[in-house]
Amino acid sequence: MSGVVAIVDRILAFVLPPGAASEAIRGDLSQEYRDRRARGTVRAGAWYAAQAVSVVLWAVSDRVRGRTWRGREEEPRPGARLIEPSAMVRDGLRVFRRDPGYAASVVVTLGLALATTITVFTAVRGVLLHDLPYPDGERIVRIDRVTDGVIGNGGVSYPDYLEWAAGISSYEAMLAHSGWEGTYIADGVAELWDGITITPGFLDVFGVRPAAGRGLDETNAQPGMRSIMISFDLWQRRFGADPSIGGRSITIDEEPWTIVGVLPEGFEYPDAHVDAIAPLADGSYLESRGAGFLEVLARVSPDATTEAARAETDALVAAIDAEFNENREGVAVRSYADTKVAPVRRMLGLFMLAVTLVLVVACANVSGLSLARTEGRRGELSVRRALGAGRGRVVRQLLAESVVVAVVGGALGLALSFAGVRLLLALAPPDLPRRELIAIDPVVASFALAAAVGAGVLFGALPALRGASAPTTSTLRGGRTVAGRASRTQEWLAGAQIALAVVLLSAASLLVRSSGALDAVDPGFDAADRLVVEVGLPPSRYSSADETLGFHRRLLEGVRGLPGVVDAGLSTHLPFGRGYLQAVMLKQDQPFIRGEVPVIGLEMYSGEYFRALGLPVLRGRAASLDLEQPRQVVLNEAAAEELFPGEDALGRRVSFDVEEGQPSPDSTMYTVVGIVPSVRSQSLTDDLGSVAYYYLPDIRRQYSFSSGRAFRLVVHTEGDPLSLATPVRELLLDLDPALPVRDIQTMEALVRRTTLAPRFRSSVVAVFSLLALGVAFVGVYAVMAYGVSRGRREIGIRMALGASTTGVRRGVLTRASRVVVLGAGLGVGTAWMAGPVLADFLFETSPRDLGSLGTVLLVAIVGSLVAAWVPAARASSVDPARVLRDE
Amino acid sequence: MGGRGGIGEFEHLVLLVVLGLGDEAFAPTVAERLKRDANRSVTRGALYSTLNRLESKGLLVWTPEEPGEGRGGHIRRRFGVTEAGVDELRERRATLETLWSDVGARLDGGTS
Repeated sequence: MSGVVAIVDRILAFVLPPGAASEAIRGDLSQEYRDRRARGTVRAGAWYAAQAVSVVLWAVSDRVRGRTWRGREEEPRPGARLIEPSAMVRDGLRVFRRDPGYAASVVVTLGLALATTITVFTAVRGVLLHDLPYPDGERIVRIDRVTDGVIGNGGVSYPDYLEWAAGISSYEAMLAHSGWEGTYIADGVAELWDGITITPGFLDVFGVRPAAGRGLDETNAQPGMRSIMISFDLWQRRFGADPSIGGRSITIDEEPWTIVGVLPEGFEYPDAHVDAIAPLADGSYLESRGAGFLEVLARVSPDATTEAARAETDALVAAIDAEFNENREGVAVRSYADTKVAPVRRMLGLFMLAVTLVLVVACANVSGLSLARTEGRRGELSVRRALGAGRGRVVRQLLAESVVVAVVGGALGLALSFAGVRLLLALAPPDLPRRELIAIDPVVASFALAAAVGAGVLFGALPALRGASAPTTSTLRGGRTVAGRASRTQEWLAGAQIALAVVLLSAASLLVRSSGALDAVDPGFDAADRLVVEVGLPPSRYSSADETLGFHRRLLEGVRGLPGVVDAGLSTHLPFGRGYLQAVMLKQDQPFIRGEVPVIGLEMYSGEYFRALGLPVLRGRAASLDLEQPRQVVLNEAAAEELFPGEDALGRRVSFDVEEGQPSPDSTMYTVVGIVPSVRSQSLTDDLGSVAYYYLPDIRRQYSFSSGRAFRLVVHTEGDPLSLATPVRELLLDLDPALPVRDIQTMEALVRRTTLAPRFRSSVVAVFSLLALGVAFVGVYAVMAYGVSRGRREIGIRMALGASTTGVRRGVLTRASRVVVLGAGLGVGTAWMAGPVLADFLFETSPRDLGSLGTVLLVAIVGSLVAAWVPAARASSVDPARVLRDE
Repeated sequence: MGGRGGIGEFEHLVLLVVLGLGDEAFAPTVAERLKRDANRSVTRGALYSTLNRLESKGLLVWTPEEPGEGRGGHIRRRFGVTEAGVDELRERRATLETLWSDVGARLDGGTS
């Protein structure tokens, strides 16, 4: 049994009436938890906790209605523990009447801490604990190639897929897919689609049926059939959910296609954005074992286990690889659900750790408050003990009070977490998987209740045990023997709060520093004042070089003519955008041997592209339509260094047209005419990548591969780039009203998108750490204030004997600093040791960054001493005469 | 219905399931069967409360069994329907059959 389950089981043992019935219930729950663990420990644990809460609630509610859970044939044993839930609740609620200040502090402190816990749990449940929206989704696995030790680095080839699909009996269905971008035009409105091409019968892998029409089958996959399935969303949006859509003809890339059916609602493979799915297109590239471009999913059949399927897959792949694929490292078979959420699992784990720390800090804080309150009630408790209340009875009463107050705090936390979840979703990066499932539901509410009860027990345990262990006679006589001990415990608690808050603050400070380091990275080009637009040219209307280049020329002329435009250029790929393309590249006379030739990014540009991006041509010149020397290429510094290390690249010749074992033919060689600075191509954490830039009007004389591809326009503007969004869009539609235009945005937004996740992580942890720190400061204040109020008599006497106000103040501050320095030191030490846990989240920041730790230490100590200053000042204003008179 | 304050719809289902399970009527199996056959997902709290209620109405009894594996050494309860419970079910069925015989033809035939 895992730790949490064991704790919940102990709570059940305590709450349920003793007897065989309760014992059997605990046994049932343990057994069911064990059975469910096969489907995931976390989910089983969540189920167990929710069921345990339901059992407690029903037991309490039945008890209140006078029904027993003991079973009729059992009589209560003499001296058996009796639980009176209604009486306990009544006792607990009395706290609010008798001690509203205390109750309010506890409710607010715990409410804030629980709000963070519940909010993060809601996200964890939505992203990690929900089932896939497919029947028996846990049986779907993803099969990835392993290359250089990295899973999924390089896809699966079609011949490999065919042999796997035919040869592995542990799977009842298998699919392979590849990306596809189409231009769809209906009723004069053009849209760019995100689609995939896929093997027929893919719906069987998900175990779902089409929402309308039928699925793709083998006949649809025949060459020239042009059949597609469309997404549920597209069906609703563009076709008014027409139930007879099957067989309808539409135009994609200006060719007629037939819609055979509609994907079911909630279908989100490969992601939620998929618009259309077509059969894997025929082509010679399908026949090559070396061309790994497919993603493969399979459904494990009901009479096989995932382990058996994995073993069978490994064996077959090893046999195929031995025959055809040298130097392959096999495959990884992983649960599809896990692969979907893997990127955020660590981040949510970090958040969960952070909120647990916040909650523990809050519990330590209210435990200190509760301890002080228990000390104040020592007289009352001693009377109860003296009148015959057993120790257990007093513990139960005090614990019940804590739990009831904590549950009210939990209700506040739950209410606040509605706002918390909304805030979290607003801040979260848009590509957070399954974000639509993040919502507060009954399971979250049960969790909130369980967390609140747990917090109540945690913070109430120490005061309850203390309160019940009173040396009764001395207390009744008015002695103060335990006061000193209690305040020392409170000081320990305050020190622990500071320590934990410092750990959290250190983590936050490292993440913020790392996020700052990321923002400070120079992308290599000028992102300010740049507007970027993505445009798709339908290949059927722009099939020839003249048509494409003519459009480019008219567009660039038109854009340059717009007021406020400095420069404009276009390219098949923009830094940080889509359309990234790579190819192997050969020098003149160099034979092609796979693995020994550098892979270089390829871009095809037109217009004043380098100027529009703020890239100076360092040497040579930009390519042009120079008839003296056709076939020109511009390299960036990284590419020049990679291809011609230590040599001058200008004037040298390169080619990406390769054939195994042969040098490239002379007719495919391009001459390097210019060198530009390197840029980061996908994200700020990338190295400066090697890129070769071809001039579109030049390369289109020889190659036609860029036809139909989307291109990206970049416009350098004076002032706000977005002010040109509308003129540019109007210009595009003016040139061709059927053009799909999407993603008009600033270059800065494109760059910023890649820093959203780190920024999100650091801001969330920062908020939690500030909350923890605030609570800890309040804790320091409270313990010092309590000490001063308890010690008024002593202070009065000392002042009467001639102690100065400064001396008294210094005394309080010295005591506070002992607590604070010890706690903060311990916290920094822990943070220093635990720092490497964060290493994966940090960019160019040491996980043991001394500057950050030093700052945190300083903030914690200064802040705590400021918090202690108020009680210190109050101590020094004690009037000795009055104190002594009151005594 | 019956002289014991009657039973509700969910209690009725639970009684039927316990009777149907025979020697296999343990709480987790009852929950599983309710989910499978009646499409009712029930929290364990609600289930135990119902089982206790049926027991106190004298319609159910249970006998302790040796704990199996994975139960932390806790006993199992095997539930069984009492004579009174079987009578209650018979009575319910008779009532339902009478009522159904009036409307059944109309529902099946689809005439107005």
